[in-house]
Amino acid sequence: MTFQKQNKISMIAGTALLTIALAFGGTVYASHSFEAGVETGTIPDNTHIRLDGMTLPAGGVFPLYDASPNYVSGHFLLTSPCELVDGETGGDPDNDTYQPLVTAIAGHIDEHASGTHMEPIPLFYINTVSSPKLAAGSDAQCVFHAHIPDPLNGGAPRVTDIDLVNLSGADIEFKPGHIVDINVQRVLGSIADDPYTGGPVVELTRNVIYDLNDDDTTNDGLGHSSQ
Amino acid sequence: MNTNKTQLFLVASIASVMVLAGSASEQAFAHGGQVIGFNLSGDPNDPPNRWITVIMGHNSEPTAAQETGKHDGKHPMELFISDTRTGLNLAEADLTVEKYYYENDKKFNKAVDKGFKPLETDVAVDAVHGDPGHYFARQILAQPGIYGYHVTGTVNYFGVVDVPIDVKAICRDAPLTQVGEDENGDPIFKQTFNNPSWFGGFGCTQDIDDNKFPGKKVKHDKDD
Repeated sequence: MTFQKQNKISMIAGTALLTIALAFGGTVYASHSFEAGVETGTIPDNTHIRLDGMTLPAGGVFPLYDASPNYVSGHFLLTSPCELVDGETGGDPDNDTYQPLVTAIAGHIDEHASGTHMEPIPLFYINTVSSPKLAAGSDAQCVFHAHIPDPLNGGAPRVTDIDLVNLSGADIEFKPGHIVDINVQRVLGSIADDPYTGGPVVELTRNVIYDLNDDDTTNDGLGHSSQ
Repeated sequence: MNTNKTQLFLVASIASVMVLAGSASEQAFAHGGQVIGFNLSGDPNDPPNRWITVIMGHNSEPTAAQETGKHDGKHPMELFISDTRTGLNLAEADLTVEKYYYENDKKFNKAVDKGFKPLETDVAVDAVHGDPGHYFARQILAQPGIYGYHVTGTVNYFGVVDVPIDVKAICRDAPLTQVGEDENGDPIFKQTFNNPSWFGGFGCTQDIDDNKFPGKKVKHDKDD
């Protein structure tokens, strides 16, 4: 038997065994809180979007992700210029929770207005890696994290679309380090089977911000995990 | 020689995958369910602000009873439990099932009059390993007939609240009971076994030979 022929047989054998393994062995899931994660052996879909260099005008919209017709589950990560939640400029040690200047919204944008449903994403402020903590007094860059969808803390229940909108009333200028990362781990269904009705619902308000790392327990939200 | 053996192994492996994949895709999904509302506060007096969908049926429908040498009858009672609004699976539950069986319509109708009595109670409903939101009460269906289940217990809603569950239904072909008449005097029929909010249905269990074609009653021309 030639070396080439042996290689060919090995490749066919490998393909056959891999096919068997994929067909019958790939149904183990991780589970914590309301996130099921991806199947073992599967790499999640990740979208990393650099915002630096972009100026989003007041009222501007920046579409980030569209999985239609599938509604999905996963993670959302945003680094953005930020400000204190109550709009103060700082100095109050008891007021240490920040919100992004830009607003992240999610849900479904349909060609029919009645099927459109977009709500602000409930965000968790991660102070440990945000500039107010790392560089005193700086509101240059805050890190926010969210679960898509979040059945406990609000937001749209079925998410096919994720956008940024500028509700701040002024231009938002993004600089190096400002990014969005969307990690989709699972398809939960088709919006064709579970459509939104009675719309359009487009809730244009700033994101609700949760903070697990301050002394205020009223803004902890529900069902958070350490993952 | 070795080459021939390897090729035979490969052909057999690939054929096995194709056959097994084909049989898996043939499984029908005839299930029904209930939607259960609750409040995140856990107070039953508060109006519902979240909902759980419980889908119930037999695994690997259509079902047939066990018959030696023909069919193993392995059809666990299965549940799929998810958050209604998002479709996220609910992976933690503490559930048991009461199991009902009636051999035929006559015996079922007798139970309608005298009351439904479970054959087995407090049977464990276990999570299917590696498949969050999927639950089995493992069993071998021993006889063709009418099977029904009453599942009770709690489902944990993402670590925040335990939601009471009460799902009760009989298989789809169980006879209906006349419960009254409409304004035209036409009879109104209802499945009195099921919980009022039950929707859809799952199939009753057949004899493995019921779907044979040609069946026993087909007689061939003697000249053939």
